[in-house]
Amino acid sequence: MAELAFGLPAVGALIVSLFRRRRGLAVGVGLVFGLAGLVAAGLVVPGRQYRLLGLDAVLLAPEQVVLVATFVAAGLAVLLVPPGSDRVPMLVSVLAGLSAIAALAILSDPLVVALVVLLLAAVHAAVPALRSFSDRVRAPAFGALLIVLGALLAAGATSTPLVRIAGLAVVVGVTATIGVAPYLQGLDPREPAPASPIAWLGFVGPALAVVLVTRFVGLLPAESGAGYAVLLALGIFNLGLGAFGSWQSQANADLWRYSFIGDWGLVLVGFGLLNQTAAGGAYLILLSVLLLRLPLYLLARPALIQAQRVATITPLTLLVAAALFGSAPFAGFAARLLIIRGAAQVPWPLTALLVLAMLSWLPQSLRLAQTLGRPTGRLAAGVVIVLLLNLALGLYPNPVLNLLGVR
Amino acid sequence: MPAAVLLLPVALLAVGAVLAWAARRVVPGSGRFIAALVAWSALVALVAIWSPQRTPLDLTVGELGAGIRLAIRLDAVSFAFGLFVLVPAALLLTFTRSPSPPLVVLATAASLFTVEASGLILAAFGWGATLLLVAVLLQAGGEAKPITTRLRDQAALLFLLWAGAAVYTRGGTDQYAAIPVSVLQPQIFALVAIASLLASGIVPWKAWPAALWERLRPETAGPATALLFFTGFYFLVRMYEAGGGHYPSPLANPLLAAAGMACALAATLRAQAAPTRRAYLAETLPIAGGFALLALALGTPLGIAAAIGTLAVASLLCALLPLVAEEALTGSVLVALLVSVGLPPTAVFGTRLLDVQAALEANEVTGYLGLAAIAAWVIGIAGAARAVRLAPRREAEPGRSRFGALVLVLVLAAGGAGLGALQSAIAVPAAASVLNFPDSALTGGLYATDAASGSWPAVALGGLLVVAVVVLGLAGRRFGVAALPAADPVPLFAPRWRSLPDRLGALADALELPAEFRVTGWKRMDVVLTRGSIWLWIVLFAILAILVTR
Amino acid sequence: MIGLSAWIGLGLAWLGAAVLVLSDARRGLAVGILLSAAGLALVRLVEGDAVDAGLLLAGGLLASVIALRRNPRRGWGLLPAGSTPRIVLSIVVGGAALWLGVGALASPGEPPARAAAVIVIALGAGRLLGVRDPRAALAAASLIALGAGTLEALATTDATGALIGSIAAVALNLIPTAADSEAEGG
Repeated sequence: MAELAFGLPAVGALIVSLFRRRRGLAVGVGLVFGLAGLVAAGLVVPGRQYRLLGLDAVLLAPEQVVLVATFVAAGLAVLLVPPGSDRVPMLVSVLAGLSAIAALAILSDPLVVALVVLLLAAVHAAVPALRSFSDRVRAPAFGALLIVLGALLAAGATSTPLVRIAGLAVVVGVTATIGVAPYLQGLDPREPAPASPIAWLGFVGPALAVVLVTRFVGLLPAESGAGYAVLLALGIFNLGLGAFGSWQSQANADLWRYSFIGDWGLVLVGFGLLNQTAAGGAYLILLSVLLLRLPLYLLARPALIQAQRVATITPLTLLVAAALFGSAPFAGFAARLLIIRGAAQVPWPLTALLVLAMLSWLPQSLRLAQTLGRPTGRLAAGVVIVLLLNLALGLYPNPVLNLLGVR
Repeated sequence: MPAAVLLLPVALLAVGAVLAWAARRVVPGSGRFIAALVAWSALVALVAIWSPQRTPLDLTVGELGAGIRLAIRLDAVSFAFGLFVLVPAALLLTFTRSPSPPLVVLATAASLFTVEASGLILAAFGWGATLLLVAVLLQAGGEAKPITTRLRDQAALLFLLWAGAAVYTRGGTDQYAAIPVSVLQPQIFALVAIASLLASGIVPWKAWPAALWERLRPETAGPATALLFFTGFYFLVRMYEAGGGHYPSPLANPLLAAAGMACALAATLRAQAAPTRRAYLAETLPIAGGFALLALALGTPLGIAAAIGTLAVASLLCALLPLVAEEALTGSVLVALLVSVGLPPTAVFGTRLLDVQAALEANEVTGYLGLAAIAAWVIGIAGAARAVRLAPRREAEPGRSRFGALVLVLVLAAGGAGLGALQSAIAVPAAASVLNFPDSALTGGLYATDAASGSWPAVALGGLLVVAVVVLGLAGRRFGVAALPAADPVPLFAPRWRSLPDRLGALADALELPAEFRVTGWKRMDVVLTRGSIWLWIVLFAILAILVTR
Repeated sequence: MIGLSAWIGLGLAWLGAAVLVLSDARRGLAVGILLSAAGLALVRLVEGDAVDAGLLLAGGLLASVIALRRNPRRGWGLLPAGSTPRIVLSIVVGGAALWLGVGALASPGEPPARAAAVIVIALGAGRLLGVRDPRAALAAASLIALGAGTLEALATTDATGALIGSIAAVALNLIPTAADSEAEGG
């Protein structure tokens, strides 16, 4: 079943690109393969070891949850494309991405993971876009190389400092691949989403982050916790940069970019706190990146391209802002609660910082929601679907948290 | 009685909200009737569940996740605060034209859920949902400052969440009745206290209930105030339960009592200088809240019972104020002014009397605070006399129920006579459920209130006064209100302090970072950050490598 | 003799990677991939794993052919003007990688094989992160893939690592790049 999770989307991407001129057929086939991949990912028995083309493969529960959410997010991205946009290129990119993400989640070996990241980075950078190939490939390639370095040092280093650097390299490698600070990339809304940094920040990133904390955990030296300290420091840095950058940004794509960075800051802090409770919060933030922030950015992109004036605030705007902020009863509330619970186990200044950073996102959430304009038609339907999904996750997160092993 | 019945009031409201919404889609305007009906039904259900047994009833459904335990508890405290939410909501839904009755009903459900939650985190969850629904309601009602409102609310919520998380982490539970006493440390309590003060607007500057009241139409401001005002007090009452009958620091009581007194005094000073009658009435709730906090913070049985009685009356004021067309000087406005200011024999008078008695009885410090509160009370009475003379601006707006206003005014005016009953039925049981005290600590009964410093023969004297007031009212109803001078009367105290916030704001605006520290080139910094300089990354990695290998 | 062959393989891998680093056009890039793959194959062959060696050589050959065909820049493009930093890169990074592979790491595999793989990865990384031409970047990435595949092969007993590295190297060169990106390349 594990091989189907990445094989089916790969085959789907191939078929859709072959039949790209017959749009209806291509979209139908693509959706069927995507759905089949989702089912396959959902049916994999978590924790069971597989042997796949001579490689060890295992899908752990957190990876499975995030992988399934990634499939759902991909489905939303394709189904909710703005009117006038072509679904087929999006479908090909999304299926190829899903295939790579499934491979990342399933394959155990860090070197193979790095190779997949490298391939994905090259494919991503080759998609026609406004920025040059080299600009787009640099950060994920740097990340892949650091993962290779980390794996190499972890496997064969003879001295303790090098073992510590192994943990550092893996952590920094993954963050560089995702594209969080200091490995930021510029975001131009005119760039198609699959070719933009959002593809890493909002689509590939969550799975990669889970791989880091579940699979690569063996590479992080436990005796010093250096890797985790770096994770925490990077988290705080991203949290601060996200808050400050968004405050300084106009209500445009930069604001969205910094909102992703802010969320990633919380994720990294959640994982860096080294307790299961905060990690649970980080997982939930990852889910909300996939199922809320990413679809909403995609829905807001047409308005961002046209640089529409900020609309007046409607009740729907307020609800979207609340969901982005993490108000009760949306999923962000439970996530933030878990992170604060986790942070309550360490000295209080960190919690104060977290609370302050969370609060600072309130006005920015409203500005973000306003970039959607006045949603109507398919756009409004998309917003409502995304909100309902988050509401369900916020009202009853227990099943997901149970799967993640969080109490 | 099966515990599942506890869900009935909230479920009724939730279903009613959906029904009202659906009905509005079919027949515009029909939602209000359904909304009012379900609100009254929920109120009846709450009373019917509590009254027969009057002992705590618990229902644990299970874990929602993230430490949120879906467990609700109906005890004397949640019953009392449930009434404070449901009564004004039902009255306002019946007598005013809300911009969105389904939303009001849904927000009422969330608010009721908050006070029925048996743990701090679930209550924060419910409160968060209430805040969101009220924000949407305010938006529908034309709120122009959503960010200011939401920032304050969310700051309070995050503080509460922080406290809940800290309690859960240290004690393994956030259920009020099960929190180990040692877990509720002063720092955690401080978080709850700050959240509560912000939530209920118990601050010396212009509090949100007053600002909201002045900014928005009464049919919007009314439900919003009624659904949010009492939450802060609720958490402060629950902290007595969590702390084993007292707050974790002896300093907390006088500090909170002083905050209450400061709020009442400042609101009174603003009220006596109010430029309009609406601005005067807007300060009614902050004044009531200040008195309630003064009493609540005393930590004595009488204080807590008096505070809950004060809040009960405040909940009726929440319903009354939106019904009074205060623009024109009508009879109901006159009586509303008398009621809100606390002249005998009104309910406000009776509860304030108890608040001050409790403060005088507690200790020397709070005794002085009680004296300051009496000063506030007296100034408020003078301010009410001035408010009568504030020129009417326009005719009373249609759409406000004169009947509703009349009923409420009469209830509040005659409320002093029923104070004993109110204390016996609601306040004393609520105080007894968070504090252990002997039966002899609070005497009195249905017909009178009794404290060490004196009694209020509610029926014997208050009833007599009620009869006198009614006779005077009936006799004078045919006389019109005498023409008043057009010029606004001068305030008792020149309101120089009113410009203080503006002056402070101007001062803050004038503050500048030295040019060397200003972030003027953020765009350039952003470009540098996103340029993807490989050398920068390598240097950063090298620095980190040196740091982790040291 | 075996030891000497291994070191020759290492030298070949270094030479190939250096050629790739110092070249801007298709012949130089293709030869760089091929030489590096040959060097890696030699060290695996010396260690007694002919299957790995065959896979790496085949992968390298295929990748270099594809790189040759897909790259529109004709000629060798070796040592263009302003190549001094690249020469320094080839020597310094190659030397650092050699130290890492031989001196700082105890596994996987024997020192020459390990060092060869690390050198190829390091020089490929240097080229990938510094170049603007997408075809050159993909060729550099394929070096990294071959090096990582070799490391994986050294760590395991089966041929999967070499196979995956080779497939990745070929796949990377198969990726089409947009014309405008090509034009931007330098």
